[in-house]
Amino acid sequence: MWAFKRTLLATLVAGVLLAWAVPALSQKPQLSWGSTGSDVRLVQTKLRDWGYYFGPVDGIFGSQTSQAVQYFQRENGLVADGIVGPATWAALGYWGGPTGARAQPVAASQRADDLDLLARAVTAEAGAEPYEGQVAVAAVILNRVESPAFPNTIAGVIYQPGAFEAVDNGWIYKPATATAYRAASDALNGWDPTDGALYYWNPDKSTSKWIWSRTIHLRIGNHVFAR
Amino acid sequence: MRIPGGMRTPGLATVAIAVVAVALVGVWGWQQQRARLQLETYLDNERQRAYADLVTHADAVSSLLGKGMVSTAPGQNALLFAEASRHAHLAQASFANLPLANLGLERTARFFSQTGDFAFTLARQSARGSALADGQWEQLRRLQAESADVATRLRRVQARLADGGGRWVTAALDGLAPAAVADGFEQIDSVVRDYPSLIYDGPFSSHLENVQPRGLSGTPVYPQDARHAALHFLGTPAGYDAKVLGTRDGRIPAYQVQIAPTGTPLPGPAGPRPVYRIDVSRQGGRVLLMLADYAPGAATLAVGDARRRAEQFLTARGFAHVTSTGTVIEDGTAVFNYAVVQDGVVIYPDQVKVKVALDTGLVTGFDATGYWMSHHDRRLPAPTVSADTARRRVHPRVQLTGMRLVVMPRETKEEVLAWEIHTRLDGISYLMYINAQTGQEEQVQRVIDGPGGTLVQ
Repeated sequence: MWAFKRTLLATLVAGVLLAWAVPALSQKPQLSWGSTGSDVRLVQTKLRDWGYYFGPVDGIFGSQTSQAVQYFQRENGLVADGIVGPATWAALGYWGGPTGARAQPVAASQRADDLDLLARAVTAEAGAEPYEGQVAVAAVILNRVESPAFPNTIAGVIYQPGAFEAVDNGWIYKPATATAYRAASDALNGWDPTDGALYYWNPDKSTSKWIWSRTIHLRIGNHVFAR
Repeated sequence: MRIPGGMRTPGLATVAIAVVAVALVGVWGWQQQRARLQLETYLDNERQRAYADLVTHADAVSSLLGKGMVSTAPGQNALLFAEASRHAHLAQASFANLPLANLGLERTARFFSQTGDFAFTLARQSARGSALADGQWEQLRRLQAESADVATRLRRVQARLADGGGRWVTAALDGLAPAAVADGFEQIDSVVRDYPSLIYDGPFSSHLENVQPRGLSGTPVYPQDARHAALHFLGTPAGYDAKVLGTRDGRIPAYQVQIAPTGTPLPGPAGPRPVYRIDVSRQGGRVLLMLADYAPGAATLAVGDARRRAEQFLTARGFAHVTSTGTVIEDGTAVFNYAVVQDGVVIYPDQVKVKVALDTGLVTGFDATGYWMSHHDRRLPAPTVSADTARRRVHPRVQLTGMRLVVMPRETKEEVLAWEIHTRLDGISYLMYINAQTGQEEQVQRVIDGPGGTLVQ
């Protein structure tokens, strides 16, 4: 009985682990005109979200999909053959087999890194704040990057020891919400509802003595902002 | 032996299990303790290294600035100041690695940044062959004394730390700095606060901290006016109501207006009805920025159509003479950046941006902070450097793809009339800026063309 239970548990755990790991690791098949199925749907969704494809997401690789793939390939320095092979999969953000070369331009992935880190910081620090309050927290982080008083990279500012509670207690390692992604993206694109603030805190919770020496410039949601 | 209370002697098996359990817990505890000590030691080593680096770099800064004052050869000076600048920035980085951010000691960090930035402007000036002006030499002398003082004080904190056992990390401190260190740094920060402000030709110069908006004029408006301006900006949408939530101070004092749907349902199909936030300047009642809380669905609009929406939106709000300067497409929205065009010259500091949702074409964002900060009546001088002269500056192996006249901001916010030369090398576009008055090369930028749009780096 015991042995049976243990085996069952082990199988369950292994099953869960596999189910979780497989989609991330599985290699995507080559797709071309006539292909069908969920991978085609995935390509159509990606291309639609990025403004390359305007047809239906029906999982059928037809002429519209082929044209969209070629458009995407031309715009991203790939061979415009309309076939989704390893290099095109990589440019779409999936593993389609060895490509030999780096398909994603460095700067584009730098922005993706920044966006993800910023969005996680916003989720952990201001996940319950109104939308503008989330943009504001992301903007404060970016204002610090530009300020002589703080480190000059996004990671430097966010991971500065003692700077953010959500970093010190590890909440930042939780995945970001969709709203936080939008807010982080707005801030990276230059929106700053705080007009250059470098600090924010929750006046009902903050116990730090020096923080009150700052002049408060505005309030959004539960946070006050200061320069 | 008789057990009081009549308890049974525990069986051998029970005793054995208890002993084994205690032993297991003991081993587990010992392992936990050892793991924690290892982590503490590792963290402590990191802190010690950062601190030792900080002291070393701070020392190097004062020593190199001193040498720079004595040396008279511009070539040698350029090297010394560049080296001083590097050490100052490394000191700032080491400082930021210490667990002090909870103390808010930004003046010390700012001191290192400014010193590095100032040394860099001196290095650049020396590299161009010019000697230091008297005023600069005096500033340098002051800065050298200040950085030597900071280095000495840092050593003193180190000594106090050594008196207290020399460890940064102990379990009781939650990863924060020990009290002796925190006190020491608070003292340094208050000493640095009393240093006179440093004004020079660099981006971190003190005079740039309080830039005033140049584009706003007129009298202060009342909250009611701000409310109307915000509603009018959105075309007074039906079924929406506006209220002023508060005010903000800072560079541009403004009213924070929220525009939200009222409860009453509208006839006809319901389109997207997000909540908008609009900041309206107190002076002149101008809309500075707008943000809608809107998550777009699947994209149905081509980027070109979205661009037309953005441009119509701008034209209707008085920004007719603008040109596109970059696009970012992300998560079903497109952000279009524009700069004002005056007499055919692109005025980069006067920038506005518009965000369009690619599902419905709804304008979900607008920002004119840059425009209202910098816009003013400009008399554009005629370029003294001809297009031909500027074009000849392009590297012979680099392909020239176009050029135009622009006004660009320097890091110091100063505006420069320049030739923007579009070039291409190995499939990557670069923009080169040649000062149209002096012929000096001001800047080189790289253009990123990707699935997410066009960006300049």
